Amino acid sequence: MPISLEPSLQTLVIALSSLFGKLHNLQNLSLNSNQLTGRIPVELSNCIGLKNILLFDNQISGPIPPELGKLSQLESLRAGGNKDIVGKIPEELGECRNLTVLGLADTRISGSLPASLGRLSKLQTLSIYTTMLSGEIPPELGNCSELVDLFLYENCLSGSIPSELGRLKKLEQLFLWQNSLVGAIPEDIGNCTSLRKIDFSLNSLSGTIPLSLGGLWKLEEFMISDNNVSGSIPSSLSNAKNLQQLQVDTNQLSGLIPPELGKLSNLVVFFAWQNQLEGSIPSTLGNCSNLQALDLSRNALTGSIPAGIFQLQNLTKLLLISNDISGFIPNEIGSCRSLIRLRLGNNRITGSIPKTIGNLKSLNFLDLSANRLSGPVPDEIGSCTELQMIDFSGNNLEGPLPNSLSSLSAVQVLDASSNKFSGPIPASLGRLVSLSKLILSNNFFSGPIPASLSLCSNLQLLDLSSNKLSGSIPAELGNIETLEIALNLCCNSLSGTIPAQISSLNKLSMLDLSHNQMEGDLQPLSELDNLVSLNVSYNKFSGCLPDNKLFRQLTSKDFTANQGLSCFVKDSGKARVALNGNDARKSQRLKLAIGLLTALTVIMIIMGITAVIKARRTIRDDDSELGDSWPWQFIPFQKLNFSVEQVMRCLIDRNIVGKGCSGVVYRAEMDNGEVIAVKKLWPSTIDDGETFKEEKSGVRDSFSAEVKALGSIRHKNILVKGDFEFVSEYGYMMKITEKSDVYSYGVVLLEVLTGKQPIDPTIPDGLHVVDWVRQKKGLEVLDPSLLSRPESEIEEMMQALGIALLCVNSSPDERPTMRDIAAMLKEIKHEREEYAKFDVLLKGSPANGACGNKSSGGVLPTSSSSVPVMQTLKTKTNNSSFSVSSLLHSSSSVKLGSK
Amino acid sequence: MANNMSSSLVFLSLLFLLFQRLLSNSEGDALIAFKNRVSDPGNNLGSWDPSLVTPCTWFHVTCDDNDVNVIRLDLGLFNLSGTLAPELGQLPYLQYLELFGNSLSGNIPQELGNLNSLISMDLYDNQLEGNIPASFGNLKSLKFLRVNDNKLAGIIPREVLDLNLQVFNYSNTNLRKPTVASNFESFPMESFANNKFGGKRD
Repeated sequence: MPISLEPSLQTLVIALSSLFGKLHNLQNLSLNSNQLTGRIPVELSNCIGLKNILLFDNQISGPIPPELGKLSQLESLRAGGNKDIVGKIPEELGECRNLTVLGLADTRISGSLPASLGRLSKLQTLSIYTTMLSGEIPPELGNCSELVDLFLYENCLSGSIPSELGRLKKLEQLFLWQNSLVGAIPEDIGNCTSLRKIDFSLNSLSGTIPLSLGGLWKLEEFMISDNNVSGSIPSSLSNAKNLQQLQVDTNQLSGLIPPELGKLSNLVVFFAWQNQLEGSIPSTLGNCSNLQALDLSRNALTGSIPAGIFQLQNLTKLLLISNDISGFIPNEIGSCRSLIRLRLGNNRITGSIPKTIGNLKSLNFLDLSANRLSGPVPDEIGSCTELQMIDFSGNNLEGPLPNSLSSLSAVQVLDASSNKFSGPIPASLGRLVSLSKLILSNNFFSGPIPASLSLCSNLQLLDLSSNKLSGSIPAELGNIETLEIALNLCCNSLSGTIPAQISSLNKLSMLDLSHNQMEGDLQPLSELDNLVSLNVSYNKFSGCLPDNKLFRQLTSKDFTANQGLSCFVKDSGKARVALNGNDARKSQRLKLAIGLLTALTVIMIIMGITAVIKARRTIRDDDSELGDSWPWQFIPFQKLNFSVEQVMRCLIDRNIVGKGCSGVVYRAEMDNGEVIAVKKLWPSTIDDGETFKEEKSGVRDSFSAEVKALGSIRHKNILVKGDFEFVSEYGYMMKITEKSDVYSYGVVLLEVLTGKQPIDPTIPDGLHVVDWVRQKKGLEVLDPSLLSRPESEIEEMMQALGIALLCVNSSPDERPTMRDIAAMLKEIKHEREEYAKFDVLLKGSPANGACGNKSSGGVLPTSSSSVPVMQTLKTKTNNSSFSVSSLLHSSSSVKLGSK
Repeated sequence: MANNMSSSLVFLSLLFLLFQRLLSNSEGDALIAFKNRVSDPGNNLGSWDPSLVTPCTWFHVTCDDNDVNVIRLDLGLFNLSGTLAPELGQLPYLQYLELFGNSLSGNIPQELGNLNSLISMDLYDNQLEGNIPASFGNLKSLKFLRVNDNKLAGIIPREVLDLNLQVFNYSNTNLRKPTVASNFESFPMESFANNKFGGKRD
């Protein structure tokens, strides 16, 4: 008598092997749809009476035991839905002569289908889909004469479809999609007279569609999308009267669409897009009264759209994109009330948009783009209240936009660009509360921008460019909080100033106001934190560019042809006036500067006009007292081959090569032939009052700004020989903090320890010394000449290296303060006090620490590498107004051991 | 000039890719995977029809000028809940990922670090947990990263801090920057032996 084991346990580990070994009379093992884990026990094969093994939908792992082949009574083996079942299908399963169902879908079964399966003469269902099966489909499957369902989709099967499958007279469903099958669809498939569904999509099949398919009078679905099938669609297919789904898209089919297809009165879906079909769309398709979706896009179809198509009362999707369809849109379109999606884009359709379109109350998506439509948009469009997407772009449509558009409250995208629309932009568009993209560019719209557009509270993109719009930008546009993608108003005749409210558009990515007649300053744009692209060129803007990151990153192209728009100056007043005269030459000079500076070796910071004048005199007179008695200090970080005096001499107008946001850059040729760039910082607070005093304080401010800037640009530019980019130096700008000069110190420290320049030809891959040291992790980064030092010293150098890495942390907040650095260096020093000689890193004798080295041509003892920076800091706090921070590339002679 | 050259090169390669891309709808699949994981009470994703050739006509999805590649996903303030699908990482041309102001939960999938073209990622004001994946260190074009007002926690991976971000907002989360000392990680412990470093720094 039959015994069944049907546990109600939710979780049962198959570990009952010994038990199974004794259940000789077990016939049904139904353990499906639990959370069973473990393997399929080999001992199951001892239950020789088993008829049904149902293990599907568990978490069983491991292989299918070949011993199951001994189960000669087995009718159903279903182990699908166990993602961890692996290994091959055992050949021995071919011995289970009574097997009717073999289900291993959705497992990780691999290997090929064993030919022995062909011996399963009673097999009705072979369901091994979504696994890792490879190899070819064995022709022997043609022997499984009882086979009804053959599901082998989503595998890696290769080879061709065996013609032997044509012997399967009872086959109803043949699903082989998403494999790597090649070759032609066998003509013999037409012998499978029971076939209802064929799906060969997503393979690499070639050849033609077999004519024999017409004999499959039960065929409901024929799908071969995404293959390389060529030839034409056989007219005999029209004999398959039950065909509901015909999907032959994305193949190489050519020729005409056979008019006979009109006989397929059950056809629901006909997809033939992305082929090379030609000729006109047969009007007979209008007889396929059940047709719901017709997509013939991306072919070479010609002729006009047959009016009969619009008699189809179930048609919801009509897509004819990218063909060569000409003629008019038939008035009959209005009778196809079921239409939801109508896309006729990219054809050669002429005439006007029929008024009857207003009958399409279900229409959701209307794409008439890139055709040759002319005339006005009919008022009746306002009746298509379900419309969400309207694309009229790229036609010759004219006249005003109908006011009725405003009743389409569901519209999300309205693109009427590149037409000949004229008149004002309807203020009523403000009622389109769902609108997210409004594109009206390249038309002849005139008049002002309606302030009501600000009521489109979901607007993300507003493109009104290349029209004839006049007046000023309505302040209300600043209320569109959602405007994040773009605001493009370029190429109009807009005037007036940028309203302050624009500063509220803080999510905006792109702003283009170019080619208008706008005036005033750009201050309202300074708070647009999210801007990635900005173009205000060809206007009459004046004043100063806001001093923020974005503006420093933009290229001068974005600002061109704005009389009176000066380069980066923080405040108005004299500084601006001084700059304006030079504007025309500025960009040229900056370009020149880049060229000249290829030989450049250094950046120096020189401050204060009055200070400079004073300094020049004093340097000449008194070398030894540099420092205390001077209004500024000269603190080179490395050995210099020139004197301050030589630098001063070059600060004349003739040598100006450009102006940056923080100062004027001079080209300075030294006595030894070296060419350096010298930047003189702008005074930043200038009033009309006492110039001298004000400038002096201004000097201090701009100094600290510059020092901060230097730190934050990571010195990559400054230190690179022959790759100078003054203009874009702020491109690298990050957050400015008081920690940024600590970075410089770290770089110097690394230079000292590694004996390398920041960008050094001996560093592989062109890495910056900082990145290189980070990448390497050991002693190898130290200057080889240092490695002969005692081990204790090397250890200290590594400690100092660690400190240097702290200083060059890419996040300024994480960098230690100079006070901390000093403390850490002292720690090293403490340890080392007993080693008499090696006081290179830290100490530097007080006598030469700061600046007492001028007499020797600017040579600074290399031992004081840590001291100058600390003094620079001191300089800042002391309000000293002059400093030279020179990181001279050529002085790679700075080495610890070279003293 | 160089710009023109390179942009026309880009254009050509886009054209070249066009045909390839048309054959598959991997970006659409990725977006559908996203859609399947979220609940969308406002039916804002209603137009996302997986049977379409490309997702370029779906609302709140923006493609490039050739209607080939998805460059924006604007789904801020849509009341979406659920988790972020790792498949979102399969949008190689995406520049803007705007998912702010929803109720998205779970972890940020590390696959988002594959979005090589990303300029802006706004995940702020959600219920996201876990940390920012270190894979974000690959997002070299990223300029805006806002993850504030989430349940994120942990030490922000160094890779993320090393990005050249214009805006990085992680306020109202439990994220924090690594301590200074961790900078020494790149050196063996021996390098720091016999010292008194351990103490306070900042």
